[in-house]
Amino acid sequence: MAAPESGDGNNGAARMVTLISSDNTRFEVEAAAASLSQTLQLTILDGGGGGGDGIPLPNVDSATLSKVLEYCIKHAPAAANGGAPNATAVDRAELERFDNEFVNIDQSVLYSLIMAAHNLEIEGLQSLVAKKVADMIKGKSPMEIRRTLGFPDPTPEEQAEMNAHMLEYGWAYE
Amino acid sequence: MCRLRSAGAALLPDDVLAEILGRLPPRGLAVSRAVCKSWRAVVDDGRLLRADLLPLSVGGIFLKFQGHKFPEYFSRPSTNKVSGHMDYLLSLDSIEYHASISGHCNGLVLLDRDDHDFVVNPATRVWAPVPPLPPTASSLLNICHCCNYIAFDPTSSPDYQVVSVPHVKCGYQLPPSVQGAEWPPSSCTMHLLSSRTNQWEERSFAREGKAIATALEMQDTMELPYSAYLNGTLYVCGQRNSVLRFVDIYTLY
Repeated sequence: MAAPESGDGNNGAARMVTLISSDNTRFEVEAAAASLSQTLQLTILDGGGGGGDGIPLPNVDSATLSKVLEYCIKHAPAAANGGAPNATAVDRAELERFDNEFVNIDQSVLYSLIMAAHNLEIEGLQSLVAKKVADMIKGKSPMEIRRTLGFPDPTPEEQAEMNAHMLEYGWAYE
Repeated sequence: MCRLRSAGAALLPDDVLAEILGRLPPRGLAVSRAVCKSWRAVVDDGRLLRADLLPLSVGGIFLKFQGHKFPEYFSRPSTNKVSGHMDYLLSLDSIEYHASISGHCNGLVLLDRDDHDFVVNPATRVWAPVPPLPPTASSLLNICHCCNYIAFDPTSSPDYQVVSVPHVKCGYQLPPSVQGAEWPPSSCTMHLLSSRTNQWEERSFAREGKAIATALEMQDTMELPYSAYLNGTLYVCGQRNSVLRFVDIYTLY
């Protein structure tokens, strides 16, 4: 029979927690990685998520959760070093390469990711996806932004407002 | 509200949207206001767009008269929010001094007070001294005097930059070894100051195109104290009626 473990005195083996997506898929992941989420951190510190329990995440589907965890696993070691002041330039460059690659994804996935990062309060991921969307917007006209982000065509009223705005804020369109 | 049934971007909660839009430069923010009503509300409610930094209209002009201690400010009475009297700089010390405007860019003024430069925003009365140039190993400086030029474009960044550009000294006996030197030199280390740190940093510039003349020939004429800054490029009036173009002095944030 497995001896009950208290806290993290586990002879070097990393403590694992289980997260359950909205479609009931179970993900087992190191507690350190899952703790990048401010929302989960307290539960995990309280000893939750271990054994057969699992932490249910009713707002995150399995595709999104697996993507989120990919990020957390990659960033957990650096985060454990307290924002990695002693990380080498190579480590940082590797994380940056990973981040760039990571957000190179379909827009629908990106939006699910934004919402998940927001709900789970994963700071690094929140700013990564926000930056990605900001980069998609930068340098575009309102109409191009609407098309890029998949807004429906503007109503005549919205179109008139856009034109009025272009007059008022002419300098922004130079 | 943007209509429902559109893609995710239109359904993002306001705080998430604010975090995204907050990363845009002022120009991008202004454009985002036009995307739809809920975006406009996020930009306006979060006061993301710093209206005080934007070039909305001409408030007035400064004129310097011979014999006057300060430049005089002329404006229409209705737009009289700007203080032309830069006497708030007087509180620095009580010694009499003369001040003249040596440069300006999009609402910021470079004020030369007894050979010390200050960056002043007459609209907000905020000012900052430009620190003296650090000593440099460049041999150029022996035959040059440096002038400061200011670059500020509030639509792309709230920071300004000051560039110190060398010109050949007039009426100065050049050593024979440098008389025939190309001017501007093919590469040159100049000093650049960003308001973010308010410290001078060395930056290398490489010349594109041909030299204008030799250093000796440049001594014929003085440079004119004019410059313009547009779309990230600083244009400076050089000697012999030349225009120097500095590309990419802004490192975007």
